[in-house]
This record gives sequence, structure tokens and C-alpha cells, in this order.
Amino acid sequence: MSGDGGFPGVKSLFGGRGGFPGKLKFVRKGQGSEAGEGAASQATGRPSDESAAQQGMATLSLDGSSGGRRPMEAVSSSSPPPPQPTSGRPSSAGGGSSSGGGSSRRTTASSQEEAAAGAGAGSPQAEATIRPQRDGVQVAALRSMSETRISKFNRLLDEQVVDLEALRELAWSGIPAGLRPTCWRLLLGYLPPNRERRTQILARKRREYRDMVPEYYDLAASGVDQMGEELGALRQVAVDVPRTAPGVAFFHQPQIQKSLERILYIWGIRHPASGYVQGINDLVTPFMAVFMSEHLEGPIEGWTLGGCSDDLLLDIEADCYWCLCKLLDGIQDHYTYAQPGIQRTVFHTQELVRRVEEPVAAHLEKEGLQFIQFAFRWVNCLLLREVPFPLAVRLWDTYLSEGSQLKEFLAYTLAAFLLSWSAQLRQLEFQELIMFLQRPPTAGWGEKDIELVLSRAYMWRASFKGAGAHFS
Amino acid sequence: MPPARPDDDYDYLFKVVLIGDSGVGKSNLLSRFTRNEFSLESKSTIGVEFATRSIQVDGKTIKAQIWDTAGQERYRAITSAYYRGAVGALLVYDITKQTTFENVERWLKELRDHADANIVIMLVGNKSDLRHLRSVQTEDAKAFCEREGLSFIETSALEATNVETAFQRILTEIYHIVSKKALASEEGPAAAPSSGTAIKVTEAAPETKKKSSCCQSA
Ligand SMILES: Nc1nc2c(ncn2[C@@H]2O[C@H](COP(=O)(O)OP(=O)(O)OP(=O)(O)O)[C@@H](O)[C@H]2O)c(=O)[nH]1
Ligand SMILES: [Mg+2]
Repeated sequence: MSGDGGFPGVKSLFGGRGGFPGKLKFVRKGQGSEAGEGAASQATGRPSDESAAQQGMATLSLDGSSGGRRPMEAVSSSSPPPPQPTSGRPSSAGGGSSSGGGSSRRTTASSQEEAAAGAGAGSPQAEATIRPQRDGVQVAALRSMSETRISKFNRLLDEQVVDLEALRELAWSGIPAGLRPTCWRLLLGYLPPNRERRTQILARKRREYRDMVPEYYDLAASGVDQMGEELGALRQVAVDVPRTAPGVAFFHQPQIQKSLERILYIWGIRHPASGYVQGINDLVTPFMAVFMSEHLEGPIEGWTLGGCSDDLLLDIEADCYWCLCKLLDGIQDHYTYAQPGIQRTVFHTQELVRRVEEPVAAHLEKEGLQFIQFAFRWVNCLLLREVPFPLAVRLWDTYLSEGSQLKEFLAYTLAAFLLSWSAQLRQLEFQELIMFLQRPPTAGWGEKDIELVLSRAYMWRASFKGAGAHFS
Repeated sequence: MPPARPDDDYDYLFKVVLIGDSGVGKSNLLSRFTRNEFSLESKSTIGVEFATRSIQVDGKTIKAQIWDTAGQERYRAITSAYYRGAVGALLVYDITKQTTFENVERWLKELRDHADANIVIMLVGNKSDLRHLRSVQTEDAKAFCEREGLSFIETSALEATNVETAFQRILTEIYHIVSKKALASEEGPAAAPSSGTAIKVTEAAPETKKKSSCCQSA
């Protein structure tokens, strides 16, 4: 199910359902306008930013043996997927540190829950076994971040060259707050696994970003030498920054607003294939919160920038920028013309719901509700808008651990998220449904709730992968 | 269709879209109208958002199903799909931002390309509370509307000025067209919810029929 192989093209997504008139036209239009908009970057299939940045990094072998962009397909399709969301036990410690690769993977399914999940996943009756597992998962999800878990992270991070696969496996189930900034940088391939190189590379990337600020932002912001498109981008960013995470006061301090504005504007200008798209502003906030947490004490509610020097703030801003680049690299087609990546994920989500809980899918269909009507935003902002802000970072732990599998995993996550309310949904009619799903009641959610969603997503993926032939 | 719920009785169901540049206040107009809420720091709209409210016109209950769309250009491919079946459009600009008024032409073209030809359009100049920052003169907007055959109103979602009136007016206008048409085609408006379809929408899709109204599901 990796890549686009299993999906119809954007065009045919709408053919059957009749929901999107005029789509064909959009697709055609899009190709035309994109070509004009960023011909250079389109030609290489990469935004100009990326090709430049990646070439630069390659010379320093940041992308070497276990760089963040290394595709995981080969590994995860031939052996059980890495993360062990159901595990509260130090099951993967041995495997993770002894040897990388598939063999250690197999040894990870050692706890009872994992064994159960594995059996369910592999069996042809996977669908039937999904539900009963829920309780077991819930219990496991309640586990606290134990000492042993933290020491496992420390052991991994202390290595001269961090075993990224092992880190992914461990981080998937949540990263201890204090280790999160480093883990995220590593998972995203922003920091190299080799400890010797880190200081140098970090310094270089931060310098690079500093140079971009006058080159791109200051010039545009001063109103000199700007083209219509840049002006429009600047205006859009300026409209969105004050509306970013309105519930979190920290983001509304003037310096942070300025940082967000620069990050988003520069990102947009350097990625002309999509440009800045509304909602990307949301995606910076977890990075900002986590990289700030290295320097500020206590919960985000109490943060002020008093003690932070401008220099420090710029470094954090640079980290946010590069990490945003890395994250969006993998989901670029979420934001290009007609947003085909989002449409595909929404379609995939719908298919999954149909497979897992046909009656829910049937009910939504009977009510005339289309997935695109509520799930579009879920994908566009990677569920950030749908969960309380503190849970966003937990969600990010798993997303970043998924690496190149994120796109595929998202559909499973959204399906699991939706089916958190499967019983309620079946009681509602069109209008109630759409109002409900526009504001899913997650205000009271804690980590265990989001972890339950992630665990189910994980299991469904394992099931459908294992029984691929059976289901397709 | 499940049996109508007690609080969900209506004579007509009209689908209305809110369009216009990002940041002009579409979402706040909607929240003001449907929930009497306003927020200085609302989040940007991604794709579309839906809300509804019923009002009385000539003793009839008119239920408005309102689709609030994202203002950014990138989203138009997604949002314009929601124009189908809409019988009304509130095209909003910000009276303090000249460009949002200049873009009105582009929005009208969007409607011409994707919406039903008979759609009732009202131009809405929002943020009238920001008097000291005004950059679009009322006269200019009025003159434009006369040329284009649109109705016009200035509103403030913040101060709740004219918001009610704007929705009331466009819904009334739609109602009058619908009831006249219904009369002409000798289908009394008592034909109930489905009479909303009296304003002919572009090729009725199967699912549109299923909900027996012109207004549901995209
Ligand atoms: N002063 C004033 N501010 C307003 C008014 N209406 C909206 N705003 C503010 O304008 C900003 C944008 O409002 P939104 O309602 O989010 O704008 P929108 O048109 O929905 O924007 P998109 O969702 O991006 O398309 C917010 O900060 C609102 O508080 C108004 O009548 N007066
Ligand atoms: Mg809005």
C-alpha cells in the first residue's frame, strides 16, 4: 500500500462519488499554473530549497548510512513494523542496541500485548480481532514514562552514532519531554546521527538560516523590490500569524509572532511549487514549543521570553525552519495545486473506515456526508486542530518516528480518530455529523486517548499489510 | 431521510456560501450569525466549515445551511466544489483593505465558473467598526454593485452591526425568487423542504435527490 500504487489518480477519486464537479478542470488548470509558477523547481520535482539544502548536506554525509530521509519501505514491508505502541516494557532495548535491521525487529514482539497484536495482525480474521484488542491496548497505553524507558533513550542517544532505526522504534510510543528536542532533530535528519558532526552542522544550518532572513524576508518586508506574488505571500502570512494557536498565549508574544512570520514567509518563497498555504502555520507550533522547552522552565502557559537573547531566539527560529522543511518534504503534495496528497489520504481514510467498520461508513454515506467535508482539515493540519495543544507534541513523536511512512500512516490515524466515536456517529444525521466532526470533542483528552488512536492505527496497518491480498 | 427532529422543522432549506479573501471576517460573520460569537483570534478556515440557522420570512421557516470557505487562493480547487447547489453567496471584503475589494471581481468570476447562474449574490463590506482605517468608500462599493446587479451591505462582525440584516436580506431575496418560481410552476411552496430546489441548480446529482434538498452534501 506504499506510494500511490494502490490509489486511483486524483481525477478518478471523484468520478465515482460525484462529489466534486469540475475537478477534472482543476487538475488541468493546476498543471498549467504550476509550470508557470515554479518551473525550475518543478523540473527537478523538488523545491529549489530542498535540492540546494540536500546537496549541501550530502557533502557532509548527513544523509549517510542512516539519514532521516532514508526510506523505510524495504524494512517494514518484509518484517513487522517497528513501533510497539502496546508495549510498556523494555522489550526492544536489547534488539535496538545490539544490531539494527530486520532481525532486531522480529525480536521486539516479546510482551504479551505485542504477541497478541502480532497474531491478530497476521491472521486472516484480522478484522474480527481488532476490536477485542482494544482493552489490552488501553491498559498498555496508560503506562507511564518509566525510568527504564528514559534510560533506554539515554543509552541510544549516548552512542557515538545513534541507531536511528532503534530510535524510531522507541520514540514512536512517546519521547520523554527532556529528550524530545534532540530526538526530533535526529528523527527528522536535521541533526546527523554521528555525534562528532552535530555541533558543526547545527552551527552551519543556523548560520545559513540567518543569511536567508535578510535575503528573503527583510527585503520583502521593507516593501522594496517585491513582486506581486511575494506581496501576496507576505500578506497571507501576516493574516495567519496572529491567528496561530490562539489558545496558547506564548505564541502571541511579539517576538514569537515575528519569528513565525519569517519562518513561514521564507519557507513559502523557497518552496514555489506550493508556496505558503494556510494551516502550515499550525505545523510550526509543535517545533517552536519543543525547541523553546530547552530554554524555558515549566509548562508553556507560564513561558515568557524575558531571559532569552535575540541570538538564542534566532537559533531556535532556524531549527524550527529546518525542521518544518524536513517535515513538509515528505508531504509536499498536500499543499500543491488542488492538494492531491490530501485528497488521496482522505480517500484512503474512507476506504479504511469501510474495511474496519462498514456500518459507520455506510451510515455516513447514507447521510450524504463525504469524508472530504470533514477530513480535509484533519489532513491539512495533521490533526493539530483537532486535539488540545499539549497532545500535539505527543502526536508529533509518532509522526516523526514514522519518517517516510507518515503519509500512509496518517490515513490509518485519521480512520482510528474518526472511529473513536463510532457508536455516536451512527446516531447522527448529516448536519449533526458534520458539526460534530468539525469540532470533535477532544477537549478532555489526555495522552492515553491519543495513544489509543495511534495504537489502533498501528494495528490496522499491520493487519491490512499482513493480509493485503485478502483485503484487496 | 430520518424523521425530522422537532427543532429541525423548516419550510425551506437554502444553501449559502461565504466567500472572499482570507482575513476579511467570513468566519466571524458566520459565528456571529449562528452563535452570536466573535473572536479576535479565530483560526483560519481550512477547506470549508459548516453552520446553520433558521429564520422566519413571511411566516415561513427558512433554514440556512451556510458553508464558510477558506479565503486563500490555494483552497479554491477544494472550496469551489461547494458552490454547487448554493442558492446564495455572501461575497465578503474588508473595508480597510483595498485589495480585498479589488479581488471581488475575481470572486465573481469564480462564482460564474462554478456556481449556478441564478445564484443570489450579496456583496458585504465587513469591519465597518474600523472607521479610522477605512480604505474602501461605501459609494464606490455601491456603484460597483449597481453595475453588477448585486445587493450590498456593510457589516461589523465585531460590533454585530448589520450581520443579522445581511443574512435576513439575502435569505428573503432567495425566498422570494423561490416562491415566485414555485408559483409559476404550480408547485405550492408547501412542497416543503424540497421546494428549495425550485431554484434550479446545475445537474442534480443522485445524492442530491437522496437528501431531497438542494442544499445538502456539497
Ligand atoms: N475589527 C473587526 N475585526 C474583524 C471583524 N470581523 C473579523 N475580524 C477580525 O479579522 C480577522 C479575520 O477574521 P476571520 O473571520 O477569521 O476571517 P476569514 O475571512 O474567515 O479568513 P479565512 O478563514 O482565512 O478565509 C480576525 O482577527 C477577526 O477577529 C470585524 O467586523 N471588525
Ligand atoms: Mg475563515
